[in-house]
Amino acid sequence: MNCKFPALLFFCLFLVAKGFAAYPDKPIKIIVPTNAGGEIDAMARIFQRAFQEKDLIPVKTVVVNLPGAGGTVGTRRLKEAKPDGYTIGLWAPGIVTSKAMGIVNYDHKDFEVLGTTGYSEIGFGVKDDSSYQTIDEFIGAAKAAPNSIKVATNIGLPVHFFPFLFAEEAGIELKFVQSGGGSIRLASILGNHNDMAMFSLLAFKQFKKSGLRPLVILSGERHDLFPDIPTAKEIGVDLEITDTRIWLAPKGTPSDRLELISNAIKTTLESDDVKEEFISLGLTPEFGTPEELEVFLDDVTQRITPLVSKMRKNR
Amino acid sequence: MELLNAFQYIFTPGPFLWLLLGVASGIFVGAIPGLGGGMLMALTVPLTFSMDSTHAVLLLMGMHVGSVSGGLISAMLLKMPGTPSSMMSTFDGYPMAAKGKPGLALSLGIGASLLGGVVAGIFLILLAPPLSIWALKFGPWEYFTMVLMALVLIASISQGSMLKGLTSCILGVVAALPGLNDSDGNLRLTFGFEELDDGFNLLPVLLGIFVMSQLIKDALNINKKGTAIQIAKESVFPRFREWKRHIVNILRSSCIGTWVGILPGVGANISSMVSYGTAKTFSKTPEKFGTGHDEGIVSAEAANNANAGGALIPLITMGIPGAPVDAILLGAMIMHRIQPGPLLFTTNGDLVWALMGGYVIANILMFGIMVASAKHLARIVKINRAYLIPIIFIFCVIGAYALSNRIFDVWVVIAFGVVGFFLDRAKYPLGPFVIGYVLAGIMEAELRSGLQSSDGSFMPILTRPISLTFTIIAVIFLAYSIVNEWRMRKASTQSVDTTD
Repeated sequence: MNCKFPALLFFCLFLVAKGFAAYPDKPIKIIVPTNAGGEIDAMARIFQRAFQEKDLIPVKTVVVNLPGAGGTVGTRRLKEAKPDGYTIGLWAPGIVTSKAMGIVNYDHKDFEVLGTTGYSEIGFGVKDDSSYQTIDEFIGAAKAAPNSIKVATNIGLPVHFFPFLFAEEAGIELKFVQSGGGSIRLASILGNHNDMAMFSLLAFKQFKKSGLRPLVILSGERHDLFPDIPTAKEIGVDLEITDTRIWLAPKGTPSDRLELISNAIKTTLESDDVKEEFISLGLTPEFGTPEELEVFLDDVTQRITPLVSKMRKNR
Repeated sequence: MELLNAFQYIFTPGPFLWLLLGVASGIFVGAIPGLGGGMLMALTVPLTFSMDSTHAVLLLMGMHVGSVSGGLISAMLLKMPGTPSSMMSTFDGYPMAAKGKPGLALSLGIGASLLGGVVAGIFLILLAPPLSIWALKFGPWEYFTMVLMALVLIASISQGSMLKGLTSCILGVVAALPGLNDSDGNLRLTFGFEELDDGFNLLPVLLGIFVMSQLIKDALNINKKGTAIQIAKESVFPRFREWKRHIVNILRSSCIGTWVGILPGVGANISSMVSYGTAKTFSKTPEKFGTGHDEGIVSAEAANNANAGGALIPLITMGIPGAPVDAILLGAMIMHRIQPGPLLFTTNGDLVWALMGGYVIANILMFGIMVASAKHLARIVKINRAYLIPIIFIFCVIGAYALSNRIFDVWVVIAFGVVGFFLDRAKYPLGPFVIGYVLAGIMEAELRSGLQSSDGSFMPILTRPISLTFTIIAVIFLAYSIVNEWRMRKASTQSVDTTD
């Protein structure tokens, strides 16, 4: 009896130690809701490599690609994962558009947000030889002939919502045509099948030679790459949106574990080689806090949710 | 000149060995049902970070070319396509192998793969910029009518009952319905079952219908003395005499394969469907297609290899991946800080030429490896299936799971395997099922995009010249086959009359 008690005590201590102090003691999964090869996947792998090389997380991290259904296959799996800090995920503003479209019944509020790493600035553009030389001409033409200018889009995703928001704010009516992913949208613009589409500023830079030209950008101020292109605000359209990359964890993940990962993410983002890689992907290497993201996503949600019924009718 | 330099470069030990490694591993993985080139490439990309960027691109491209070709081995010898792109090779390759000519089937497939690759390589080197610009003319209506034409051309692919073929095709279309519908952003027929949000994916459905159903069939027949295929004594090295007959077919199929490859978002399986259908239409003996006919093998295999080359054209000239697999190649290039697109020729000229030269050489390496091993591979048909079934089953499960890391896809494989098994047992052909499944998705998406842009009018089918051409071909062929059928029936009733 006497000797059993200390043994039990030690056993309990061991359990406690294992339960609290030893995190992490097995590989951490990073869920990426797209195919291998995309920009978000590339970003996850940059972090994966940096975590290991710079020894920021003492265990291995594994990138798990879970593509499908506009990213909801992956986000759903993340949401339902055990909140033990061994599963985290990387995603985009699609987290709120999928709920607005009624595909899923959860959004960022049903996750723990670790923060955002980088955003890409976006704009709307046309083919080089398009008759719309400026955004004012574009809006003028749209007002003269409502519902005639064709926008290449991917229905229900940010590339659909953001131009739609723009049209609402500018008081014009555009025609939205389902095209698909970025490269297919680009091909449909270059082939004159559609008139306008949303792209990242990096895409505008890369495909300038192919014949893509921005009309307006959605950033706060003009960009060095395109000093002549106005922002939406300048032309009186209240729309300032960036395409952010959001780190999520299942709701209820212990805060000390979240902190460990979020510190690792922040440190990674401070190193020069990672910054350089971010810039080559067209992303601004800045860390955003969960609070900042909350404000942004709440604003987006508030603005797009009332549009959904109108979007459906317009099709 | 740059091309000669590129060839010279590729034949130095470093690049050559990487390319060879890529092709060999691609063939190996491609031949295993369930595993494919895309998976291999995605797994390899992170390993190439520390490599020289040109070496990395050559390695990945070798894998792509190898896997497209390797799939024909299992398609022809086991009736289980190793990759989705070799699906059409089960229709004629397997029957020919089953008739005791596995060597001939393989040699036709391997030779056609090489020639398809070389033809696409020539297009890639000489005509990449104009072709990619011309491909931009293809919008939703052109895609829709092209696929419609392909559907009409291969409509009578199945042998036997027309009604059963049609039923099978409709079931395939039904399988393509559930899931998030891109055209309107709504969930369709998921019945609140969340796993079904993404519908039934291509790979698990193909694995189920072709591979799992065959595994079940083989497993039930395991005690019967194996299908004793007599392997005729024959050379595996393709004979020149044989090829003269096929030259037109090969050129046509390679051009179709290259063209479909250039079009973004359309996979290699569609290119072999289109070229198979076209070959059948132009054939003097269309009724032999599907029974082990050499023209069927040649058209399908030339097209899928040409597709790989065609898909590189928009990638190099515009930075647009021509096929899903090329998105991985594009991703790898970006990770190596190379941005494909019109500037690539000026910024990384050496790499572009090495890529184009490497594509041609990868096809030649593929040919060498496959011809050297074909004789041994042909013996697979004689191996006791009891050894093969568990191995292939495991790879199917792994392959389906690895696609999106979820167990649901494994259940899809098994469920479609059971469906396929019973369809086959009731003499419903499986070809139309898969054709219905694959083409329904793309036709619906393109038609709806077209209608969105024309405000619901079907007129663009007739007003756009390319769509009109495809439509006319489809209508003429449909009329021709109906008249032909009618005449044949009349002739047969008359002959019955005269005998009376």
